Amino acid sequence: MALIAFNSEQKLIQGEVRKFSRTELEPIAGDIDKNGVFPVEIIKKLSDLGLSSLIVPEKFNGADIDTTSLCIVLEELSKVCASISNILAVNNCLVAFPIMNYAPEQMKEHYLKKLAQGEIGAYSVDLGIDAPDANINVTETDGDCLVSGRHDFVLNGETANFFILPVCLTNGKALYLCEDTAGIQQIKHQILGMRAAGIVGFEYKDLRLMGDKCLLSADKAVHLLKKIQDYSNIGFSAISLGIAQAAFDASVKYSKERRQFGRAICEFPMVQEMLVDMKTRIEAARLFVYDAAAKFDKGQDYSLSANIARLISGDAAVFSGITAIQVHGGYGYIKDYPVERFLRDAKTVQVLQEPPHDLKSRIAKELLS
Amino acid sequence: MILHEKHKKFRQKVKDFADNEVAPRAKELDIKHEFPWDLVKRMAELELLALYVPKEYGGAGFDVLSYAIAVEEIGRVCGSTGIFLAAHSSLGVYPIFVAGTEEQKQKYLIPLARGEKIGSFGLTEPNAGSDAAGTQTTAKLVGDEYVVNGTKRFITSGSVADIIIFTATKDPAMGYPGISAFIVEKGTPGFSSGNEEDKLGLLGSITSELVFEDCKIPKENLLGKEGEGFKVFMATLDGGRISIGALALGIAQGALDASVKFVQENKRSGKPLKKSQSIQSMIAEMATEIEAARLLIYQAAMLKDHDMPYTKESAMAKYYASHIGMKATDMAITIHGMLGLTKAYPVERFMRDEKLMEIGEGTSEIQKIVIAREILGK
Repeated sequence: MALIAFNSEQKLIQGEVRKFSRTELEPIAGDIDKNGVFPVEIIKKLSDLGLSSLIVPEKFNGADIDTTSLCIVLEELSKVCASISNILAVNNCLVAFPIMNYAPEQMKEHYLKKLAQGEIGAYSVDLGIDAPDANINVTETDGDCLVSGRHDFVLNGETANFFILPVCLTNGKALYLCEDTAGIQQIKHQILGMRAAGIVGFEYKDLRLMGDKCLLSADKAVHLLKKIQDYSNIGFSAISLGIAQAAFDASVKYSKERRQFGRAICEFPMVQEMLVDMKTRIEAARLFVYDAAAKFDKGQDYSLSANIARLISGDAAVFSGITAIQVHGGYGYIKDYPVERFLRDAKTVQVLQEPPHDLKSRIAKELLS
Repeated sequence: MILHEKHKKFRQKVKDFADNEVAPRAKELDIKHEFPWDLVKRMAELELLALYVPKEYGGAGFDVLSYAIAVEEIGRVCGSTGIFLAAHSSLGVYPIFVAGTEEQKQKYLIPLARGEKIGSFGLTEPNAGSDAAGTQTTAKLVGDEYVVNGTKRFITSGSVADIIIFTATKDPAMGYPGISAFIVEKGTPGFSSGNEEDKLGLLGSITSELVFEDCKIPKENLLGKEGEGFKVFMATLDGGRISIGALALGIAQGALDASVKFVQENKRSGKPLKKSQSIQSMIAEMATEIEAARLLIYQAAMLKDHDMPYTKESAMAKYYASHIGMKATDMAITIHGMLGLTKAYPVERFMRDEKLMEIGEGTSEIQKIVIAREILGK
């Protein structure tokens, strides 16, 4: 596609991740979904290849790749296993990104190096940028704060070495880093999709957040929290794109193999239309995903592109998941084929952190301001 | 929807059963992949398993509209129990009711209608889905018996059924004219149920392979005339579509009910969710489309009750209800946000269950072909 031109380094990364996906992920993707097991070994392997702390700068031992490359990695991984892709998206977009851009220097040194070593960072999802969370109680005591209550969803929470959590203080919302994973009770969920991505709930009981672990103070957080959300939407949109593409690829393959009425079902116009409808949405999504990434890489305002990318690719993935099952008929409904997993993963990533109607209302606010 | 008093009363009776007895079991059936033997027994006691079959054959002596209402109400709380009811009534009971001889009715229809036996229908094969004429299972008449060989797949209630209606051909090269319908009883030598499928949804229902290996079936178990299997299963599927449509409708209604409850109970940024216009917009869309689907389904059921042609209407009803049902269940998760992904709410189950409604008993594509043929002619 003319508008998307990857450079040689980006193509190299694409090739490498494709190889990794084929040899390491494909054989286990169905199993880890079924068993809901966080793929510690795979993350270790990715980290050894320098593929886990992707956007972390070189001086902190990260891979230091650009956001276009990050999207390439996420797209390629989610073509095979969206759970693993999601783990990396969270590690990079919701954990590394805010630390790189907003944390004080010594905090960067400490946490970014941890990520570069393959540690997992988690992010507690709360109810949005300007909403207090009724489930969380915060007491401020000379610079520190004590948190009780629960976050229903902590992305990467299951095996996190440290996590970022938003808390509402008297003067607004702030972001804290916390390594005290021992002081937390995990709430296990059985989630529709992304079942190996380690999404759990955290229950806090007088969890102490140290003043010197404040990543983003309340006075400047609102604007920057939006930036974090925008940036993570680039990552989530790349995941949706990968799932959609995988659903399409599986449907093309199946429709060529499956014969009914004496011919391959891909010869039937209704099946062809389903394939074309998927492809149309996927290519539109792809343009927006890589447009948002390119804008970020060039230092341009990426907010609108990122959020549109998230909307379009989220829809494309759910549509492609549903349609891929349809193309497969009864076989699409059973676990012998991966398309039912694609639908579950697609719906899951679509509503992570910021469901479409919330995202639309945020986009509208920006458009009208 | 305006209903007569007797249908309103009937709906209330099924609704009470669904809310009080089925709903509390639904989540567990899904998580544990458990077949609802207890609910099957209760449905038999409540005479829900053969609603449109006359009392003399063990049925409730009601009508197809009542049947659609029952499937809808049960599907509203549990897709798995709903699909059992739909498969048993439309695919197990109906073919014998419509095509069986008096002896077959006495022997098979009565226990099926009373729920003493479980029924199932083996049409689909590994290589014959939408293309039902591509049946490769063979039945050769040898003396007084048919010798059957072949494999059926994706058969609802296959391994728990006592009485199975299935199709087989004299010769796979013959297409439709070669196909006949038969009745086989569980335990017949050479007949067994194979693998049970691990599915996306409807996890409390059983979907299995049926395997015939030189299975001998007495000649009197031929259902309908030889070579008229096509007629039997087309009639069966025409009626079956009403029940799958009703199930799609019920699941969609369940998703709407759950969403309404959620938005009434939850707030966002201190503001009740129900005050959010984008939420209102989704609720209104779901509710409108569900109501339209209900009209289509009840229309098809009433046409059938009046012995009027209903092929087009039942295809439309199934196609539309499953289509808007997918949309409604998808939207319900969106309304719930991430909470909708968890087992704390039923909406992710509804979406998984609903997807089968666009596939089973004729995919949406086949429905469209049926509808277009009715409109445009052959």
